[in-house]
Amino acid sequence: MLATLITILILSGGASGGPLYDFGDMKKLVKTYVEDDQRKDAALDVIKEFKARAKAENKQLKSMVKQLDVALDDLVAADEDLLALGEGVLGNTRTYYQDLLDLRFQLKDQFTREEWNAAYARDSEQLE
Amino acid sequence: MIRFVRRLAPIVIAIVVAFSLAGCAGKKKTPLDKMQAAFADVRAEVQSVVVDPERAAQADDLLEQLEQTFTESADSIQVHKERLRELNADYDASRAVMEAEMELILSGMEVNQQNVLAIRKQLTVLFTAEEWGQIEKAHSKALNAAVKALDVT
Repeated sequence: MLATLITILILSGGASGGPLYDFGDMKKLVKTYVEDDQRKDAALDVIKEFKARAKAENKQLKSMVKQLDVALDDLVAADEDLLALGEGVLGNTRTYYQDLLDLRFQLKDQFTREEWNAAYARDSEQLE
Repeated sequence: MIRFVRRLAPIVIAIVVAFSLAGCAGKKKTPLDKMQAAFADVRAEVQSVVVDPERAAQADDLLEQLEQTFTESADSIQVHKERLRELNADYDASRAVMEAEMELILSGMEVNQQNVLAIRKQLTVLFTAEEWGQIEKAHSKALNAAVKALDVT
């Protein structure tokens, strides 16, 4: 139990749903605010890519949880091995964040400034 | 009349307290609540497994530090995630500014990892292999609930 708890602490702050979007909300916002059909379809495709990337990240994290659990369960595990696993988690998360940013800018390209502002003004109201 | 009110007061207070507690019980537990419950379970397990009171007390102190590290880290990361969501809503936000905010999240994770591993190292020398094994096996159900609550997988 302690090893798994430590695993959670090491992973915390990682890819839990991504730091940018709730995908369900984004889909709704695209459908509501992007007026041009071609841009709307392109934006929905980007959201599909977001979801696929998040799913792949979750799979990767599951595998890391297993590796960390095994290593942390070992009372005499070498510090270097544990640090290497920790660095692996950070490197993986950094790549994921870069991919999210790529997709975020692809998504933004499908919106006009007015559409984007309208979507996020509405989004903020819903969150309050 | 005054005597009646005085007699009634403890009953009224008891009812108010009971309703307040019922309200608390009905509230949905946050991930942090669940994590705190998981820590409480581990601490209780350590107290029951480690017979030597001195080592048990040292382990309890370290677990408290571990919990505090997590709470502080979670708070800090949350602040940066909120800032990132604000930037995301800004049509003119540059990639460089957003990347910098993401790096702050990653730095927070890195500091968290280092602190957690340092505390873990101190914990491992406190326990015998047998004690470690018993603590590891305890309460897997509660732990799985905590993993799900944090949505790390």
